[in-house]
Amino acid sequence: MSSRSTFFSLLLSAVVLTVIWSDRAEAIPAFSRQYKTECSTCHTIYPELNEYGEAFLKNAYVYTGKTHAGQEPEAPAGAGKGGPEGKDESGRPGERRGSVSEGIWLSGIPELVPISLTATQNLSYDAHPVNGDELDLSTRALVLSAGGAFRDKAGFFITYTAFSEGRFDPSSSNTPLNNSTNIGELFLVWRHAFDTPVNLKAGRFKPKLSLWKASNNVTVSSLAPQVYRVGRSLFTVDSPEDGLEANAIIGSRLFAAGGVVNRKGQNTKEGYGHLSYKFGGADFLGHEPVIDFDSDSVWDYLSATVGAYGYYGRNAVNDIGNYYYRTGADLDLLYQRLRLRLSGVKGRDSNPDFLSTKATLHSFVLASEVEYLFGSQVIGAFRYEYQDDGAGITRRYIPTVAYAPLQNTRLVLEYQYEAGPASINRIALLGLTFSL
Amino acid sequence: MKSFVTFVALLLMFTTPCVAGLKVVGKGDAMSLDPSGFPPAMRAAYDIMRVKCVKCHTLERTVVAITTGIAPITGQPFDRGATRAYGTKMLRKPDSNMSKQEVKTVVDLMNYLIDEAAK
Repeated sequence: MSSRSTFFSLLLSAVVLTVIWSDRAEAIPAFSRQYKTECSTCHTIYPELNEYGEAFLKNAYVYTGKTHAGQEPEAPAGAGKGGPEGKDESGRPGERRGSVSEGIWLSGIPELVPISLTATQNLSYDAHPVNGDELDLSTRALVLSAGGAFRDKAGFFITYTAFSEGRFDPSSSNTPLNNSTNIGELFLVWRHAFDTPVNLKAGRFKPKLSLWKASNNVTVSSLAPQVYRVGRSLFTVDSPEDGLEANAIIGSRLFAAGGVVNRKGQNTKEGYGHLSYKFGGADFLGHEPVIDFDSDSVWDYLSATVGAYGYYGRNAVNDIGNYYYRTGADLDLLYQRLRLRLSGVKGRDSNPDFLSTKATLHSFVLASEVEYLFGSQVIGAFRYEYQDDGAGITRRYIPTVAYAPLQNTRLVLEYQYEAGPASINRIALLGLTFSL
Repeated sequence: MKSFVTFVALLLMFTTPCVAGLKVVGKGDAMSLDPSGFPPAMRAAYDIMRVKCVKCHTLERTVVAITTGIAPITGQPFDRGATRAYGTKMLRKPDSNMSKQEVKTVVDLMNYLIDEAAK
């Protein structure tokens, strides 16, 4: 059997197995369990967020509509008291405890430990592999995550990588070793601090720079502006850092964030800022736009979010420092089933290879991605990337099809054509991800 | 007296849950409304709701919101402002496959049901 027919046989098997397996899956992640709602409330195909997911994220994992921590509007006259999410029986004004017992509610403890598991299994095919392994079927990652809010006063989010594919040593194991376990993010958000619109975030998190986290898409690979590196510097726009951040929704359509990053082992602090504004669609508080049901307007379905950011920092290896900055801008355009994303970032690194003789590098990276939702289970996308990271220019053309047989299961077929400074790479990827 | 108590007990046992003018049938995921007492226009609107809304969620969510006055997931009041907002949300939801006219009809139905529930 030729390698091509082997590949397609395996591809078909993977699809069939996924469909058969998914019929038995009964999995829902942490937020769905807490709020008793489906994944599609906040996601198109997970983990890509829709505008309500964005509002939920900006509201520090509390459902939108509550203007301040613990407050919500009174129920309308004549409204019943019962129901699974009824008003607090203790009658305390301003806070709702639902069906949670008083002791748990007073303690601020979520009724359920809000933990989720996300597993990623990839199949990749490279016609010209460096290590001679054309077809690779590997378990890539197992990530634990937890998130929620303590009585709507504080939000929290944690990701912990339990497994990521590491070195393969045939003398010790039949499968690749665990690369490392690590905390990806671990932070607490004090919502509406001092009764203001400002949220204060502390811990390890991804500083608010781009409009989207790198994981906020349906593809296997992330947008280049968020993940590219320069030289030996490990900084990326989407890197988790230890720091403090203040963010706020101003009015209802302007979002501002700024923070300080504390890098271990150096006194120099790093700083960043972000501004974004949304035209049309639901606002950042999740409020729907006013639509006239009797006439049509292009703004009924159109929304555009623009964002800009800047980061200034320093990292060092063996006390040899690299001062760097990134400035970027993003556009997120949504019209019914069509979505367009544009992202660009410009940067400068004074010494990204940490050499005794400084060698400054300038970087400039662009990405554009268009995607279309077919039905409610399939997204087709095409991305073009231009990456000048100071070492050469790379162009990528990435068509992708993502399929969600269940809302918690995603199968992605992605082809990457990468024309780099020294070679052309063609890689096909089949990624299977599920969360529970 | 004993037979009266027995009669009342039997009556209670076989009574369908009602909220003022609304007749709720079924429980949990199977919960829905009995539209037999609706005006013809609202009955037609209920047919749209029964087909379109259950594409993504059960009717229980809608029935609980209408009968309690509280949206079950957000905990927010479910009043006329909310029905319009939810209608707009569903209209703009890419895979809802609801036209403006269908959304308007369902919003009118929910407003009617809220009024009936308050009676």
